[in-house]
Amino acid sequence: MAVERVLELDMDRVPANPRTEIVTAFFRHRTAMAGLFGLIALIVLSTLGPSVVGHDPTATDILAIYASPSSSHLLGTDQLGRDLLTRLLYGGRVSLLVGLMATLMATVIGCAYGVFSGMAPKWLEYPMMQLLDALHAIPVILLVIVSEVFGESSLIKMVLVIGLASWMGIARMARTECRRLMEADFVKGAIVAGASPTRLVFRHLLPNMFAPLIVVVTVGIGQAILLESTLSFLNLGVPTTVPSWGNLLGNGMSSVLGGAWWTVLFPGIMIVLTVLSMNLVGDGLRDLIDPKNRSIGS
Amino acid sequence: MEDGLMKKRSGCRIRALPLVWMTVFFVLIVIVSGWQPTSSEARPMSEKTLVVARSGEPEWLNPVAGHQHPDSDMALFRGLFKIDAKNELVPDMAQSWEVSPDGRIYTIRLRPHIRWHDGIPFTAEDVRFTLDAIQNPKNHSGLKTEVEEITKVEVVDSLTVRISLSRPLAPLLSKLRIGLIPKHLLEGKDFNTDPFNHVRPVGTGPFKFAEWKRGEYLVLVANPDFYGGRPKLDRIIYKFIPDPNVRLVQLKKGEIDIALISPKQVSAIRPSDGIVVEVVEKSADYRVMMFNFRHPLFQDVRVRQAVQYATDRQTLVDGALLGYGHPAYGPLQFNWAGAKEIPRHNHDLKKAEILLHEAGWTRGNDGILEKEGRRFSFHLTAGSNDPLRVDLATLLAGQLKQVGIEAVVEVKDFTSFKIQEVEALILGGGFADEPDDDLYRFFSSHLGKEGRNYSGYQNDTVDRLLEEGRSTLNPEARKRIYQEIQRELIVNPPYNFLVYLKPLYAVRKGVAGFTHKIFGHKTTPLWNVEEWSVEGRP
Amino acid sequence: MGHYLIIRMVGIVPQLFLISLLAFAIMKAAPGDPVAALVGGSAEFMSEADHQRVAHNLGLDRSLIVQYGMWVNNVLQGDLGRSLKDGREIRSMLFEGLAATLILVGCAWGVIALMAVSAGYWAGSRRRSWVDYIVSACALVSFATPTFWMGLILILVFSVELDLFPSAGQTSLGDASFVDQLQHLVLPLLTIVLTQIGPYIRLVRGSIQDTLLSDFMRAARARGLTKSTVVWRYLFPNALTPCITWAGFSFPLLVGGTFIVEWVFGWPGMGRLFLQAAMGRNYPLLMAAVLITGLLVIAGNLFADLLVAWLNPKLRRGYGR
Repeated sequence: MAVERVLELDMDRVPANPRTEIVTAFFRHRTAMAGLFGLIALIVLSTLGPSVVGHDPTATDILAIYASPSSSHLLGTDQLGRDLLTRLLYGGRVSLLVGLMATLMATVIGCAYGVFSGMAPKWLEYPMMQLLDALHAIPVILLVIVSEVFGESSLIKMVLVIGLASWMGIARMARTECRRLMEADFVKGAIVAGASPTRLVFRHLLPNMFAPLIVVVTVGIGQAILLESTLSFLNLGVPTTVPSWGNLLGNGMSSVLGGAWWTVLFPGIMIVLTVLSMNLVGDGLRDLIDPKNRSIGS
Repeated sequence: MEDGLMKKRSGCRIRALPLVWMTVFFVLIVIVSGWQPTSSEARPMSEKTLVVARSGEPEWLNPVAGHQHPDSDMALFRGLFKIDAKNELVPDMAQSWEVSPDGRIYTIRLRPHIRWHDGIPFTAEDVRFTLDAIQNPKNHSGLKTEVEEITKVEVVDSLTVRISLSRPLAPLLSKLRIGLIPKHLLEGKDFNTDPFNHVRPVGTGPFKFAEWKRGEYLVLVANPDFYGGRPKLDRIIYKFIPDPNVRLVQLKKGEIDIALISPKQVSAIRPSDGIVVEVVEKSADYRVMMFNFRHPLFQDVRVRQAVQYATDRQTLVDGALLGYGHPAYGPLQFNWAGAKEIPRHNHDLKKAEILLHEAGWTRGNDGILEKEGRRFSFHLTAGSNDPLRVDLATLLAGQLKQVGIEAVVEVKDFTSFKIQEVEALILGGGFADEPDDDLYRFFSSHLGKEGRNYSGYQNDTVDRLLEEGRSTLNPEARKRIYQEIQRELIVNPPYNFLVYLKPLYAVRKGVAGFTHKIFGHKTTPLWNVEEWSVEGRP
Repeated sequence: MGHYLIIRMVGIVPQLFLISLLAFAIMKAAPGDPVAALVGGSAEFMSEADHQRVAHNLGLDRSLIVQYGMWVNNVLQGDLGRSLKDGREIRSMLFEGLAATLILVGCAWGVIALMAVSAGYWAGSRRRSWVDYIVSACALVSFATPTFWMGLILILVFSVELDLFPSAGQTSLGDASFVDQLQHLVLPLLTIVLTQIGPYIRLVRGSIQDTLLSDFMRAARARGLTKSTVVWRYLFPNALTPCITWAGFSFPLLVGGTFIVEWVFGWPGMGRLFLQAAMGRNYPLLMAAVLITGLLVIAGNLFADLLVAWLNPKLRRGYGR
């Protein structure tokens, strides 16, 4: 399909040690570094931040309902007097974790499917790709919401659901790469030399797919975070007792009209910054792999 | 030559102009196919219209079908009796009545010259038809148990009806506030699916049905022949807005005239908005935590009492209601049958812990109570469309945690679960006038599918007392019976009573008719809708 | 072209099949009374005998494959079942919703096309200028913004604070004039456009940059072509192809985003119906909404692919790999 052309990457040139080359070039790329910095800041904040700030995310304080940002509550409080900053940081943990785990799962499934279909004979590959196209036609939000509707909500379930809804793009990319690599001389040589399929996959195919894969994965994490926040906003995501950025925004909706603008502004900004960082890193990586290739957007 | 250049660069021929046309054409097709002709006729804005925001949409407009609330719709349908501003029962479509000495036969004379919206005269036949329809097991009426004592309804003459009971029913006249439905339109039809329920309801109320756009709005127009006099309004539009934030926004922008608001939304209303916030100081509308008796955790009465002691009701009022409320200890605090002197369970953590200990619960490693390997943990559900209930649940969960009880708050869309199936729920209820209305169908244990005893509460003492309360005619004696019921409900609680609300209504300036009285759960301020008017507006 | 068309149409069949399976699975996996799911809420009042009779009529006692066949048959005849809540026919509910959604989607496409082309050209032709940086930054940020948050912010700023536009619904009551509908359309449309336009801008910008920088430009000018000729006859069409490709590829994303926007703005479209069905666990409605949405997306994909293929004969030949 026309899509493969868009995702085409120039891999005919296989560098001797692709990983170090990319890494050093990465550090010189400004926006990618900005994104990386943002990410690291976020991770540090989420893991260490709550202990620094010191508030209990579930502690209600009816004397401090809808308090505006002040020295005791840096980002204000919500409708039950809970400190927003703390909840934001805890929420960051949830969002990052869910995003990461879900994308990891999607990557594993996607790579498996893509590589398998890339190595499979034509008669098997064709229906596999048809299935993939068909699955891809369903809007992810639809799949996710439908899955959420059945059963109890829990963090594990969210990871599963988002992961299962997101692997299609990765699979398609993996298959394209795999096909291309199968034509490369060094792979053909390995086959002739008698390499087993496992060895082929793990020593020749996957390492050379690493570059485009990492691009798709970083962007995928951002998309997963967006998905999670949308679901939580609709009360279809993480359980309500767990603070997540989407939850906070859902709560914030009722508060904001009363003037509590901080309840809507800050969680949203966090989401934007996080996803933006992911996208910047992904963009940087993509530019490095193939500077000629214009981005198709995140 | 230019084409040759193009080929060298990108290797394809593109025809630009047709491409542009195609895209434009396609976009236009999509838009045009979706564009709907305007459905509602242009209405002259000189009409006096009241726009009311409602959070829920009724399933059907037939007052007798399903589980309708008697106060929820006084505009289309009227009953034989109604309650006035003092919550006292007064005749509406009835004119006078007599009761036999043994209390089992009521003879009611109807008001003459009442007509249905379609012009047909209202007669005693319609009364009989309505009551028969309620009692007919084929019809899906949730009111069956309300009037199960009625054995026979006779038409004495066109304006007189006689009702016979199997035993005295003290609240009968109050039950006769049910909206009446016309025999000439529904006789012989399938009650449950007839279009009457959805598109052609005909009643005797001050307003007639005009239009119902599902999910959007319901429009009623004035009934000039209303027996109580032509209403001052020309039109009422009910807009269905389940989201409280959207209600507030539309209120501030003038798109709606009256809406129920929550205490936390009050601060959003600025003086410049032109809105008056009416605070109803006393209401019988309560919120409780319902125990589901099918769950083993709540079957021990000591546990339930402990939960009551662990609840700090004043904090709930301050934290969730911002002070707009009262602590609740029972269902009838604002009812004429309410008892002032019953023992109340105040906030006493020590007592709660002792009771839980007596019931066999000890603290585990994580601070949560345990017994025989089971943790004291349950799901506390609150409807997602009411942030107030969510707040109550969250605050309550925090309070229960202090005695080692883990209540996991679950926020769900209220249409997505069955009340009988959740472990614990923040529930609302309360009637301002007739105590039986509030108690019988919720707490009596033998009503089965037709009652509303969602919790599964079973208390023989209460059952017996409820029956007595229904059949005792002397008001003083009734009061004593209900007070005994209230005592029993504290000792053996079906609910953990939390708070009584002070409902807050935001009303546009220029809208007149809001009368303060003690509201019940789901009572709307439009109970006297025929007296409402919109002055000073174009 | 005809050959390509046939191949493409055949390719749709597995997609349709999959969507129908998904929708059917929703119906079957729905907890609760399956009779109620098809008949509506009045099922709880039916007697046992009636219940069994209805169950038999609906084929609930037959094998799954037979049930699937019966269901597909029903759907093809236009019967999409009844809503669980009030027993209304789902078909009419959905088609009203579909109309409203199409308005949003159609207008979004149009506006995105216009804005992306203009912004992309503006940025692409001024490489490394402040215009370029700002436009690219905006594209990046907007794509990282959750749709619902964008909608909330827009409502807060333009509707509540500035009172410029209405905040919800498709029309105002009693005043359904064209102007009024336009006013209601602005904010939801803006939300969709702003959150989806990012990739398009970058595509256009990239394509324009490439072409402008290349020898092609110099050669064309050397041959005496004016800048505007070059721009209109070669630059734009070139930039549009990847856009259309991306449009087809990301159509599911656009539809998903539209659904969220409908929810936030109370727009009476299919997305809002779908979300209401999900939250209210209204399984028959959910099933039907998934089905119709799937069909919509497949149609959109197909159209985009056909468009690209028609414009680009080389692709057609290369398809049958």
